[in-house]
Amino acid sequence: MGYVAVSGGLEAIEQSNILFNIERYKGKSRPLEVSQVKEQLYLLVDRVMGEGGLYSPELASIAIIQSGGDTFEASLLLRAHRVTLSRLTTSLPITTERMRVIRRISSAFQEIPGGQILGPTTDYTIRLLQMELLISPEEEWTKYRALLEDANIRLKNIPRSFPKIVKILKEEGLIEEPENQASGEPPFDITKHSLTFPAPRSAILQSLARGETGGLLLLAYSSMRGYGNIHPTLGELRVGYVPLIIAHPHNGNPYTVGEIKVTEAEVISRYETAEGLPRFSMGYGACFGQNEIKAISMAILERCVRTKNPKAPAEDQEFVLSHIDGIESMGFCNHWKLPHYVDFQSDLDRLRKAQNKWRASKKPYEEA
Amino acid sequence: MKRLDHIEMFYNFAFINDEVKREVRRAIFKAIAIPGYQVPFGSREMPFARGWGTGGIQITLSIITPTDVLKVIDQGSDESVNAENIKRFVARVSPGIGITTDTTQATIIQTRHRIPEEPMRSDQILVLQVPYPEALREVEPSEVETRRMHAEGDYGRMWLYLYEDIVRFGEVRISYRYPVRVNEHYIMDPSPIPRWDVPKLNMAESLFLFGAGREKRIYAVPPFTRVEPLTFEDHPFRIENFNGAKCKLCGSFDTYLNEIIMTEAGERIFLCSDTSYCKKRRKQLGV
Amino acid sequence: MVKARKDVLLDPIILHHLVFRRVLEAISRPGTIMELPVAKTGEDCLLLILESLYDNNNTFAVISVEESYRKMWSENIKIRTRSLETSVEEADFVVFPDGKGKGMLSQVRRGNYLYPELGATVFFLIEGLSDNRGIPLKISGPGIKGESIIALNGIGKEDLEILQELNKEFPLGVESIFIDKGGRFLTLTRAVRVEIGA
Repeated sequence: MGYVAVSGGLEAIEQSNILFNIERYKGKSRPLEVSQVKEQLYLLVDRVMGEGGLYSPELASIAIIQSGGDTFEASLLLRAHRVTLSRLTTSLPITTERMRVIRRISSAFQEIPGGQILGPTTDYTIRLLQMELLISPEEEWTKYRALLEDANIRLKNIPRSFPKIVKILKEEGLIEEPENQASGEPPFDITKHSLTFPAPRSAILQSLARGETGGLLLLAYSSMRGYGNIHPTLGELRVGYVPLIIAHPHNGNPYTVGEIKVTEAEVISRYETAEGLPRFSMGYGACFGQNEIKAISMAILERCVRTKNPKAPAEDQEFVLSHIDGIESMGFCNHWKLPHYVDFQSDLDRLRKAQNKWRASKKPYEEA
Repeated sequence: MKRLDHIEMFYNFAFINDEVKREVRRAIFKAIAIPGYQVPFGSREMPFARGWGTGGIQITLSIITPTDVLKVIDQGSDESVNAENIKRFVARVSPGIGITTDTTQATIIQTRHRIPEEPMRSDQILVLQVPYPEALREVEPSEVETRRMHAEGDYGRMWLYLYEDIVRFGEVRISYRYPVRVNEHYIMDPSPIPRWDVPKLNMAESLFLFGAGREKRIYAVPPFTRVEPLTFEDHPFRIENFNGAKCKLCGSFDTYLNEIIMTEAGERIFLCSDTSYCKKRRKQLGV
Repeated sequence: MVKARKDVLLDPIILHHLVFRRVLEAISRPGTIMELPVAKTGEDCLLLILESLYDNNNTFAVISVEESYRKMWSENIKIRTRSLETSVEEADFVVFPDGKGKGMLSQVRRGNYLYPELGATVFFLIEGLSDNRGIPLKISGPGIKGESIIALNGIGKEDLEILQELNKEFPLGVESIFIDKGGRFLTLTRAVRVEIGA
């Protein structure tokens, strides 16, 4: 019997990639423009920028198109691009008090100084499919474009800064100060060093901020539901723009190079019976773009992994931080598609030997 | 090819930026100096998915020179999709390097799950891709704890684990990824190579570098270093047994074989896992 | 052995690849004498090796008998590697341009049992390698086939004994790179067993 081993991997790769692209373009629609994705699928763009760890709506939009809308793949494209870029500097710390807010809510109080600003959200809509999009998408578009000018006028009335709810509670001595980086000390950089445990707080925050949204949600949800004991209240959630400030390389003066959109969440957790004055503790979350589920989940987990005597999975720092990176988990999950026949052959060898041993030790009628 | 020009124009020799290369080099340097110890490093994302050899690629890109000749294998095969992909990428971003499938021609061999059949020489480096760098992970999930175990040489639980297998099953059940002791000190994961390849690590002529990208660890076995599988005196280490089967194509019975199921009735044949060696033998024999 | 073409040496990135490859060979085979494609002198050789390994993520110290000579080396290393100068106890790498430990060698970092890789790397500029005037050493261990004899000319016996002491408790210890006037070098790792005057 003649046998030819399967080969020609190179050609197979090329063909499979061609097929993938044909799949995307086989319909009648025009190719997506980068700007369309950037503007109209902005929440998706925000998510990919966060998980990819690179703030560039344009590059993220290219990645989304190129990957056919797969967020894992798109984030991987961004991360891989990142390794070719030089890290120029570490930006200066900023305070989110001066955030150019587009949305800001607190569930801890009915009324808050500065007011609850709902801003852009789908939270309060009735989830019915917008069938009009099938018939007359242009009409929708025109309608909201007309409203835009009016909205611009009203946005001007939003104050330039809002007080932080958590800060007010802190000043009253109701909330503990979490351990922070000593000022001036450079933060741990998870892109340059591999994590070791217990991780410094700056490393925890960075790992969570790059974490996969679904992964963060899953672990945070397990804690909220009962595998954990932190009982969170959302102190404040805000979405808006913050300046990106760097020290001038020559004279060291602060210099604003642009602004980025971020979501920030602060959760208040019930007090722990420790020595001294009982106080609330808090968890902090912040991520690129508007991604509220991620910021809230992050804040809850940030508090969870600082639990003194961890009991639930979401409170185990090593467990959480080792498993929330989307790029790592998707890569490893996908790698099971690679051939494993050499390993499996070795498995077969062990099993056959064990079976033979078992058979030899039994009388024939005993075998099932 | 248009694409090729684009990459050469926009990226450094060997793709990754210099700062990252130096970091990888420092990790390799200390890894060789402390045989079998896993050095943590800030593994970066490569244009491949994690788990597809990104640790190996970072090592290869940090050590390669324009006069190197590269061979990449996956499960012993030069032509597997992943091997082709890695080889194509490294060649594209490292102008000048040569590419080969012949083990004896290569100066750097990047591999997943196999060590070639032909003995490695002193002028060759084997770069192994590693999914799980921690041999003790089988008995202990926490990194904090396994690090302590290595630091204190506290390997009792690992020995107990192997011993329990012998009591219950008559032999150790670990098939591939068989744990080894390096330089009479650290217990090391030799990557998922079959047991067949484990003895090749012992007192070898060549350098072995291990890269775990997702787990962010680099470790090494220098040449002429003792590498011993963990065994008990009354249960010696056993490599895979093919019960006299031989390669359908070249007739070898002294190579690691892959079992291929040919028909639904279960009829099967065996083929060399090392495709380049098999091809060479067939050429020599004229079959 | 990798042979370099002339033109590629103009690209610093490629040059660092070629240099590191020799360092890799040297550290894999302790005691084996290596040469760099372009270094004519010990000074050239040392700086090229440093450049291929270190940058502003690293710290260093220089120990020399003469302060002005120490300063010159420290400036050179800063310019070439952008590494930050610190104390001997803290430094990732320590350079001894006279080949003399000056009582400071025993202070270098040896790492700890959890993170032995934190042990420093020390560089000595010395007179000659394996000439007939050096102190002979019998070495064995990882990277060495059986046993081998090397000789180091220009480093004192007391400093070799301190190195032995630093590497007494594997995996704690330091890696040493000895570079001679002609730009040839060899390494000793902490895993290598050394007998002085064999």
